[in-house]
Amino acid sequence: MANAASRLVQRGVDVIVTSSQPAGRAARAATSNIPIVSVVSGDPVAAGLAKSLAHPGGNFTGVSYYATELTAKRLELLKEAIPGIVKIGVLANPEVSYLPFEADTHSAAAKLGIELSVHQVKQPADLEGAFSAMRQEMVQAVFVLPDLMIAGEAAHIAELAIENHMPSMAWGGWFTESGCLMAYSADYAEMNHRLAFYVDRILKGANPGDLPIEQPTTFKLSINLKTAAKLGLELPQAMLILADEVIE
Amino acid sequence: MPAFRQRSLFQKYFIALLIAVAAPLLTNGVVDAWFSYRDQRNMLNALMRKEATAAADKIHSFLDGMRVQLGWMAQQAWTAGAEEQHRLDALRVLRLAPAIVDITLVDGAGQERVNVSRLAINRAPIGESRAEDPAIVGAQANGVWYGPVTYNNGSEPFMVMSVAGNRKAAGEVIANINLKLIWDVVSAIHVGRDGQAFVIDQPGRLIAHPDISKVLRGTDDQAAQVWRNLRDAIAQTGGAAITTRNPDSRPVIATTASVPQVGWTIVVEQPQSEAFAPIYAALWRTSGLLLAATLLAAALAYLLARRMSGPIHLLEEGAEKIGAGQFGHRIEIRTGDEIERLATRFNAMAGELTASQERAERMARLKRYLAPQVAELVEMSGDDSVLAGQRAEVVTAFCDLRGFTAFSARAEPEEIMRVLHDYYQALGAIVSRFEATLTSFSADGLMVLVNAPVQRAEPALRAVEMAVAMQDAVQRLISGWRSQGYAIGFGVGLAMGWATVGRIGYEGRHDYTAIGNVVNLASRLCSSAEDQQILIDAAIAQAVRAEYPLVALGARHLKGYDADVAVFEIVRTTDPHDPIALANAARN
Repeated sequence: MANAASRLVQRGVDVIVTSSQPAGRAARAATSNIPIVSVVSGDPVAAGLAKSLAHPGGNFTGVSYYATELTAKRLELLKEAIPGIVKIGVLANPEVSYLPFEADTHSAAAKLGIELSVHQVKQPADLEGAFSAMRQEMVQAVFVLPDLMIAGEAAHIAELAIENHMPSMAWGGWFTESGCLMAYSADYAEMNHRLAFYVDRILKGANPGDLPIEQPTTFKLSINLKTAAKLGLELPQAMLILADEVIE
Repeated sequence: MPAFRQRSLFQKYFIALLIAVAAPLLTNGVVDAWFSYRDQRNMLNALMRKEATAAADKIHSFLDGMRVQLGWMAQQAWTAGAEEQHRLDALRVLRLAPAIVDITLVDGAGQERVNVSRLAINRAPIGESRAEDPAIVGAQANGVWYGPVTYNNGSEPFMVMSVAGNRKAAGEVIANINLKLIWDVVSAIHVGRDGQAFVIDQPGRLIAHPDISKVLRGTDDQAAQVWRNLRDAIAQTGGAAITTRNPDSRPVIATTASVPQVGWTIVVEQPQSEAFAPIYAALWRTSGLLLAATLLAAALAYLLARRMSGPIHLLEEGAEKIGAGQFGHRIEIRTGDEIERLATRFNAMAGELTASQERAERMARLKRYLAPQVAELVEMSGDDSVLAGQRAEVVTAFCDLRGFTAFSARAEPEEIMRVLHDYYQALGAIVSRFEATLTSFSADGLMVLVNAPVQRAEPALRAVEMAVAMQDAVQRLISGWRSQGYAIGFGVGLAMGWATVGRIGYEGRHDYTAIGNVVNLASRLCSSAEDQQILIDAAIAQAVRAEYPLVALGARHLKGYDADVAVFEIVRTTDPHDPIALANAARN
């Protein structure tokens, strides 16, 4: 990622556009001059990418994904979907450990009275081991943390979750489509679409430091009722009321 | 200075005609442009007012929609076990209204009973009292309450809104609303191509703008000041669109409409360049048309002025030529109006001048040998035939000075000329008086005809009277000359008979003369006359015998005559007041 970023910088591109936080971070590390438009996970101010949301001030701007902010909400929704749940297994990639996903999950779990078992998966091959470990730990559901590698393994994760009879909560609509039980996130497509606005403004001469980092306004809860049926799960009415997308 | 006068006349006509055509055009154009500007301005005003009001209505509907959604949750009384139902209602609203970020339900006693959030973990119902919360107080007082706009993380605009139930037991609903979603409303408003609408709150902060970045930048005190000023200025005009500069320093035309329940203001602005483009285009069009019309008017005025001044110039030229004596010049003007009539009069005048000049010339010619009265007579008859050659009985008179040759040999030219001048002065007057015809003169000799070309009664008597007058007059002169020592005398010879008379000479130089024996005879008689003598032939003597005393001098031999000729002398009666005449008479 860092290599790719520095190659782009060397080619002297006008603007670098990325749709993920790690890529944006790599680009920001490679240049402080070329404008970067990126999706942001977590707090860009705390991460040192911008001075403030209203006035980023540097060469970095974009759309915040609320990825970490929603961690607690996801955990709550998972708990609401499976009343009485007490132990949840967590899939995390240590590559993005600089983002406070795990810390947020721990503090939310403490508030909700849930016990966590975090499993680090660096590569797809680690998933099998993680799931068998979680089954041994008798976790009642699996909680997927944001990461690009994990995003790519959505179908694999869904398969393993059903196989191990675990309801799963992930962070993007495509997880539900791939067979995970539920997912809650900002509208990812809408955000990517919004990046074009930044590119347009920057190419027309706007200073990226003057373009505020936008926060998402719409969030989607998606539920896969087929998976619920496979798991023999009856989802409470509140879940069905809240769901924006239901796969039947 | 004819060129100057011509130009000045042309200028006068040109300017007058130009003003006559261009002034109404210009006035019309300017008045038209002014009214068109006013209409356009009113139209623009109405259009922008309409857009602003429509935008305000949309914001109003948005807020109203929120109120209805929230109000729907505050209808059930908080009976035991109603909590779950309320919670599900809240979730439904959360699902339906994406702008609502969280909902808190408060029961009739002001206790917080349900909290659901889109982003954060739902608060457990801990029974916290919200009775003192301004949202609850406001909602209880007015049914609905709108909190101030706050900027989340200094960027996103949010507002708390609360709605009271239809009865006290239903409690109240408090919701946190993400105002970013109003963006959809305002970004859909377009005034012209570049015009836009946006929303500001009471302190002038941006709540919604098509360029969302402007909103997300948070509070901008300077811009807020500009918007407050604009809002106040427009309020003062009663809502008319005014021209101003927006915080980006762009000249815009803007108007506002208010959303009274929240104290927000919709500002609709359009760049002046675009808003006034049709007005400018119309003005340019009008100016272009006026310019073209003025040029046309100028061309027309030029042609007309030339048509008017041209003939006058021709008249002037013609008058000048005719004045300079070119009577043959004719002024060619075919305008069919008064000027042509004037030119015709000029031409007629030139014709009359020609005739008059010819007459004057003829008169001058006639007067050379005819007495003025006779010349007048001949001229009046308009007929030259009297001057034609004919046989006529005439009296021929010759006279000359005695001793003039000797005198002229001695005297200075001035003296000679003075003597001749006095001499001819005296004789000329007499010839004219007796209406005789002067045929020729040379040096001191003079030949005069009586009875030709105009016939007179008793020509012989008239001729003798003339000769006597001549002799008297010249003798008076001679007495003066003698006192100066000049030995000069004067003699006259008269003869009557038939002669051929007529005009001789060549083009431009004619004389009237007589040819015949009578001429020779008179000449010889003159030659033989001494000083003071008037010699006459027998024919005259016969004619005047009764009137004048005559002295028969007998037959004399005259040069050129074979036989002797009978010669008589007129005895002049003596003027008693003339000492010379008396002396002469005494001597005789």
